[in-house]
Amino acid sequence: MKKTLPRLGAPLLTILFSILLMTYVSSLADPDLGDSAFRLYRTAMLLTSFMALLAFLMDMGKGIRLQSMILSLSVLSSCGCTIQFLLGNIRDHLVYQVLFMAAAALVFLFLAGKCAVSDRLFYLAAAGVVLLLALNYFLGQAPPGGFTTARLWLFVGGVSIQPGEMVKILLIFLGAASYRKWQRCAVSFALCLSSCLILLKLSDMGNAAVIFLILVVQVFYLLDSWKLALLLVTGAFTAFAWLIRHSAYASARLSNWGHAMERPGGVHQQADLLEAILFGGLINGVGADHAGSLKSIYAIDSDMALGALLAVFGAGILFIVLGAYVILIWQAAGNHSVYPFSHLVLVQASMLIFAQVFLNFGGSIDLIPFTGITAPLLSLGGSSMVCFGALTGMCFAAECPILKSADSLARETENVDILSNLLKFGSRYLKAAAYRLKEVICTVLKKDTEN
Amino acid sequence: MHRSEKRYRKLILALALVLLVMLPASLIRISLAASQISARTFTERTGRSSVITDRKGGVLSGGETDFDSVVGNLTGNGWSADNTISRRYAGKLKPSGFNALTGEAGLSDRSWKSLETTLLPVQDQVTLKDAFRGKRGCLFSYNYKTGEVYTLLSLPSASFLAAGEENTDDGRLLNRCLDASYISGSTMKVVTTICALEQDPSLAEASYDCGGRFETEGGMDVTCLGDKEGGHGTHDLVGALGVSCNVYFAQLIRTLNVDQAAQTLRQLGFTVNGISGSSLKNVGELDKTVSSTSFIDYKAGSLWSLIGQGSTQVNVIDMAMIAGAAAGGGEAALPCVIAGEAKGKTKTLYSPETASLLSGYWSKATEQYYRDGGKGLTSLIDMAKTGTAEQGDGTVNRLLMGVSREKQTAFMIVVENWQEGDPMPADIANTLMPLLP
Repeated sequence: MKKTLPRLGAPLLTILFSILLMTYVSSLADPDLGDSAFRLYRTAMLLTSFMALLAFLMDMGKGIRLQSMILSLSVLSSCGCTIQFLLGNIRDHLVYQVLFMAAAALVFLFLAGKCAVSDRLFYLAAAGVVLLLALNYFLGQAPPGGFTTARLWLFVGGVSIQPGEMVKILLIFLGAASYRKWQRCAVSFALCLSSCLILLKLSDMGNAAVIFLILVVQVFYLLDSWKLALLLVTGAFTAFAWLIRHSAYASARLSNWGHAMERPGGVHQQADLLEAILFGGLINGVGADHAGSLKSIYAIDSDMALGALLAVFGAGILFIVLGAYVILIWQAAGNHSVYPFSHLVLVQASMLIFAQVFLNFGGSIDLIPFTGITAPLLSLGGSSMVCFGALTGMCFAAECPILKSADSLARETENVDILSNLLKFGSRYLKAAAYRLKEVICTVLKKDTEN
Repeated sequence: MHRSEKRYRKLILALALVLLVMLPASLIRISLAASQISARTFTERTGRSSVITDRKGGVLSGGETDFDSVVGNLTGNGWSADNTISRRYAGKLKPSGFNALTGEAGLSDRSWKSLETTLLPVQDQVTLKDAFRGKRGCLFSYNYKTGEVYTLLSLPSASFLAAGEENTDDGRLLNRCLDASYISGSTMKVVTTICALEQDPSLAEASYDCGGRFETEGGMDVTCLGDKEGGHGTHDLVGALGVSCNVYFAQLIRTLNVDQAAQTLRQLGFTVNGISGSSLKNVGELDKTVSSTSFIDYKAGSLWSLIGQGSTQVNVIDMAMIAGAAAGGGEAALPCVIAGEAKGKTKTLYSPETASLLSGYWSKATEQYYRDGGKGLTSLIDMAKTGTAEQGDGTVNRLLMGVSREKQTAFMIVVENWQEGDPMPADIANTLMPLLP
């Protein structure tokens, strides 16, 4: 914990800011969304500027990588807040969301900066995967309303949890901790494969696909074999073809693909979304004032979040959002970390982000089969938010440019308790920010005098 | 690690590119969706409607009153009805200026297209609907030279909005001309005659004796519903068509070559023994069902198929085309509902020789048996054949197929669950004739 804390500063601040800003956004939200456009843009601008300020504050290791990642994250989270605010959902889910964000912060606190994972921690996480899958398999339920028969949810005291989301993050953790450790590799591969199959059995095709891609990355990296990875992909396609022939659920899902406008089997959501996009116009969108009319589309705020954004703001927003995702993926995978653990976390994370965005957006507009998976940072969702929080945490820990100084600093402050550590690093950031500001001001003044 | 890392960066670059490629791909998908939006969706979203008119420009759908139920649910008035003009011709009905870039804003100043059908005007359709006197059934009529469809009446029918509160189990949201097939009854005897004439015209010159019963190998004897005790006596094809003699046709069928007959049936549009031939599956963009029968041997079941009971199920459009070809030299125009869509496309159903022989026998039979003393058919109708189809539940459907040379019209009428005192199809045909252009 002592070693971890110093590296926590930046990401922890990000999460704290997010919570504060979401509280602020919700305080603006009125039950009737009249005159919402003005407030919307104000909120969005505020969010982005806060996040940009954060990025500025963190520009200490002169890392363009980290900066661009934070900017991408800030753009995405402000887009996410905006669309959820427009769909009128932030207010309803605020407490829920904040609790989950806090939980994410805790998970992150635990995971971030673990460069060497002990056997005990590894097998604890593996046991966690088994437990979650078992819970999902035996106690998983379909959501009320009969929209889907996929048994993905656990309902605990009025809160719904998707164990599949957490399994993904744990599997990334396990894979990352298996470098050059063959026993762990075997465990990790076996767990990936079995969770993939169990989720397929539960009709959670989206998460199964994401986990399968994670498995491919693990095989590619840990065994250093692209041939095996290719074989795996080929095998998966064969298995998928078999599944379509033999599973009524899979074939029904697939037969709907490309026929959304015909409303196959009374499924309306994709057709409704496509119509909303078209009637708003690709340039204009339906506009912020009419965003509320999208609320009636089932799962618009989660499974179709990116599509909803497109419907409200037009195609321009797609360039921004997809651009932000591309930066996030590219920068995460481009890391040359000295720790294999950090590197593996980042490459798996980039694959996860890619898969989720691809499935979410492509599915919602009927470009690929619809799977009902969330888009990171845009979709409303408890489990997925926690998990993405944890993932971001791991990524930041891997990327954190103050790694070295923090390490040495941690050695110096070995006997300091958590609270004073936090305070110390809070003041450290403030000092650094002040120094940076001073530097900028000096540069500007210097230029002025030169002129 | 280093090697993989390099490769992986390439892979990730590819993934990032995939996300970027999604941009144009999604725009293409969305534009495709634009072409799939139905006119109904436009109406719902904009509160404005496209107009479907009859052949004289009277509004059938999209005006202040909706006549969807009058013309057999054909114009389309709800999500559940898919086989309708507003759905299938959505591309032609959409406002001309809609483009996906500007969306709804681009709709405001644009004109809506209207679509003219070839259907008879609403008041005429109401007259025909009244002629059914509340019975279920259907009436198809069309010009066998040009292909213009005059009526696709289907009863009962209801607009979607009203149907929400009514019982829709009786298929009132369907169009029975397009979506249904009926047991043919004796109208099938015209088809049997064509089979004989196509094989050997001399087959039709024979006379057979009807003793009221014809014994078959399969046990199920062919019996005549003849009004005379002990059968109809000896008669030729004209007489057999006129009185609809089952025993005569049973004997005629026994002289047919089974394979050749099946071939002819397929040429006429039937699916025979599960193998389809040159069946007509569409009326313009609308789907239609296909007639089917089975004819394997001379045993009872097969015999009955060609007499008109058993496994024969006919679509009224197919039968009207077969009738029309008798007056059209073996060719009948493909039916179409939208004005200008008929481009004189025809389908050859049988040879001109067969057509001329058939029309000779059939006209004579109609003249001798269907006028004032018999069915009371108007002289505008040159050829006609009635049918009585017994249903599984003991009820009876009355059918009539016919041709009017003067009006260039072929038609088929079905009155379902006919009971004493109900309108005869011939009465409805007599009502139809003066309404035709």
